Amino acid sequence: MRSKASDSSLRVLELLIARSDRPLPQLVATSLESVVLDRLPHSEWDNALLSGTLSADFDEPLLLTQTRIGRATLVGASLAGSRLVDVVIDGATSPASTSTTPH
Amino acid sequence: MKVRSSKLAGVQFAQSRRHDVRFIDCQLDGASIRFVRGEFVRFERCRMRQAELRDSVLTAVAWWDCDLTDTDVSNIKIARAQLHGSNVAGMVGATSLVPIALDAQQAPAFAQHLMATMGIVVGTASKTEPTC
Repeated sequence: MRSKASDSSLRVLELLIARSDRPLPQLVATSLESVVLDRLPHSEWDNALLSGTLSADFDEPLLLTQTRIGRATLVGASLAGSRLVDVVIDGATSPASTSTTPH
Repeated sequence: MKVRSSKLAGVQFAQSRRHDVRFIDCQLDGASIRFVRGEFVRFERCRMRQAELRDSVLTAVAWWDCDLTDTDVSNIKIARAQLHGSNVAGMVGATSLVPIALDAQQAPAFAQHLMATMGIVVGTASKTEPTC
């Protein structure tokens, strides 16, 4: 049975778990900010806040529900088969970055 | 937010919202991007074969040099959209993909697809009497 980590003060513990090969607990209402994530085995996120970087060799399907992702970077990662439900991805950094005009 | 050179095949973005996100050189084959709301979303050189974008609402969206082969865009609602350099062969529901800006090289293929969708047949007239 999966445990639920609903206290954001557990973020350091969860990061340590994330770097192991063991399954993560279900993360509920958890805030991880400005972190570099290498592995998130079998992770499920609900009502969380994520920002940071997924490493290039990251290769895990994610299940994100009601999660907000901001200021994140993905370069070379594989999220194939992931499921993002009611997720907000807000990459706004500055007004200049919002142009879609061809250069 | 930038997503670069990432594999996102089969990803499901259900009822999600995006603002100011750039996908660059990504692999999104078979991705489900249905019922998504997005502003300032840009796909650059992405492979999106058989992706599903139907019923999404996208403002200021661009697909530049993407492979949209067999992509389903039925009932999509777009504003300030660009499709320059992208392959639209086999696209489903292209009549929903308006208003959109594309380049001259794309126009024949896009027009052919639109006409086929509307039941317009281009060919040599047989000049036979229409049957009632």
